[in-house]
Amino acid sequence: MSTGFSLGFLSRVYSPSADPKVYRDTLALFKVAEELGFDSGWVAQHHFASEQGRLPSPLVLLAAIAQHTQRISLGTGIIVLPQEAPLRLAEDAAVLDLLCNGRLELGLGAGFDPETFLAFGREHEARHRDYEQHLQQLLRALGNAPLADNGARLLPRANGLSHRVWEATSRVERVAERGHGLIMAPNPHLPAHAGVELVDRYRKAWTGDNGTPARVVRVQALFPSPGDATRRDILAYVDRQQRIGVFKGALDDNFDTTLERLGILHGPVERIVEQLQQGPALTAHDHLILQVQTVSTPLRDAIRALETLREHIAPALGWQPARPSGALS
Amino acid sequence: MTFKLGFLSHAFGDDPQQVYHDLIEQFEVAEALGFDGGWIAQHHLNNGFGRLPSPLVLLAAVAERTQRIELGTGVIVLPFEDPIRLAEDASVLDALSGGRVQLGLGSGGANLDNFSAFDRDPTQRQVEFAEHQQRLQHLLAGQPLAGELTLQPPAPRLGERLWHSHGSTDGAVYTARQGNGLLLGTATHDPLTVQKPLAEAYLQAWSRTDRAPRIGVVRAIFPASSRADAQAELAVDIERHIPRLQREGLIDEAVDLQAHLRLMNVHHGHPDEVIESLQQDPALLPYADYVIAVVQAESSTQAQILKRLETIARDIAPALGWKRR
Repeated sequence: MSTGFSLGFLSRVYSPSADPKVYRDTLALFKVAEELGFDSGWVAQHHFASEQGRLPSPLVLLAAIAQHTQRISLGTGIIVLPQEAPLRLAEDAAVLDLLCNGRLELGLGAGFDPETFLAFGREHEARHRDYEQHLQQLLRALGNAPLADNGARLLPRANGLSHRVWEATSRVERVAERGHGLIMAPNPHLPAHAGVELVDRYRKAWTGDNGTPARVVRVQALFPSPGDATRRDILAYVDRQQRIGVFKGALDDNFDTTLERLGILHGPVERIVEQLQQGPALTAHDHLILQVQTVSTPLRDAIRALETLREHIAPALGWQPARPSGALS
Repeated sequence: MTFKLGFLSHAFGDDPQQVYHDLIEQFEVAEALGFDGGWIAQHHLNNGFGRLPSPLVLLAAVAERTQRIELGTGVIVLPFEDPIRLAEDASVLDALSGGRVQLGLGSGGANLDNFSAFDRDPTQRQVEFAEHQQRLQHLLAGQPLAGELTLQPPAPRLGERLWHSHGSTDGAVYTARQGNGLLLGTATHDPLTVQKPLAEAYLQAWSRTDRAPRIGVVRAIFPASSRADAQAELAVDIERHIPRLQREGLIDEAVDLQAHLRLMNVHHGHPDEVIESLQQDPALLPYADYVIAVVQAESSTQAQILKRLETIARDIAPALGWKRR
């Protein structure tokens, strides 16, 4: 285990085209991250390539990645739960967790993209209700409860996986009551300090009833020196968020102001460290998860960004890498 | 006529983690032996005997450990699946594996106990099979859903690698009309009186000119040094099925091991005996484009499984006309 907090990265598996190379590149990034001492890697789920995210099946890709890594945790950030059949999800997660020796971190969310809900034949307005229903079914299966009158239960059993469930939602009291981890990312509609307050509310509501500590994943996009391509990608992303009604309001013409509003960190390393220090304090049970890629980021640039994180940014925040696997204490 | 050679596993075993580890090794060994494909059955929940509900997740791991061998499902219980999510998972696996997926689909006839847990009606399973299968094909063909969205990643060639498992002539005819492959060989379907007519009906109903019909035939193949040895290895596992077969009305009464082995289409004995027995099978070589061997019973050890795969690839399949690619 690392000291300070856990350090991870998030890939949204973005790519301008559906070339399978994006999966090989993501796999390569996990291998590099593990060698660099990162504690976790997370992949996002996108259906129908919304936002040019190319991965609808995070558990399938993570099963492939599990064959090339030994230590790094494999996270979903996030799976859109209202669009999943909860029992099938429980089965897939339980199988993957055995294939990767208990390294799965199961991040869940309600989703937001109206177009994909339409395609799945689900009501966008009902997504929070569906999320709650599917979550209860998922937890029953993971908790080895009987699933029908005949007493059938999940097989394989999901040993310990229910303690590795994370939720991305602003309804933090519910997350705390359920004993799950909280995934929080900057909200462009709220002031920057809102994240700190959210985490405070979550920690205050924590009961510890399931014998585990409160835990937070803080997701942050970070581009030390955004070039023209990165700028274009970010503006295209914002355009789309505005078009589907997720991002409300106008944006400033000034690019730096736009980034600030979105909570995207950029600039010299010292400034990034300063900005990260202003967020919620991270403990040994928390993760700092950084997204370093936009749609057109080449693999070598993503690797360079992870190296910068590893060498210059995370240590300044108090992170120390895990010992290389196999080293004696 | 030559054929592709595959194996099918039901993922038996006590410890699921060990079962998955062994399965991956079976694919590696089979690939080295020249097998064209490996197929995995999907079994849900804990009231059956198979240990793997998620074949596509396991096959993603297999894909990283192999280069050439085809990755089959034999079969996925289609009424329990959301066709969009299934299309996505299969498409991602196909991209990861360089187009090696063979997608076998079934209506859940062997999973009747599990319909209530999945909130499905077993009496509607054929209807739901057809609905989900047509939606799956629609997506794989790149056709849009509501809102004009299409499957991502696209998998245009995967639609040519779908297979159905059916037990009725209507089902076989339907498979042909949909342009898909037919999987035969459920343990208790008699080759002469059940399987052969299904194959004939399928071939007769085939009308597409852009691709050829294809039939996969599953057979239990248990070579050993002698017939007596093969029977000794199999006895426990065969006998444990007899009460179930009686309960399901598939046999009238328990007789003896020989009769049960015949009833369950188990080809066993010295390799020469197995070759002869397979040659006489009325629904196998005359029809099979893919011969899919089941070499694992519940109490088989990994060493026995690997040895059987080796004997089949080295001694048995070549004598039946299989050519290693």
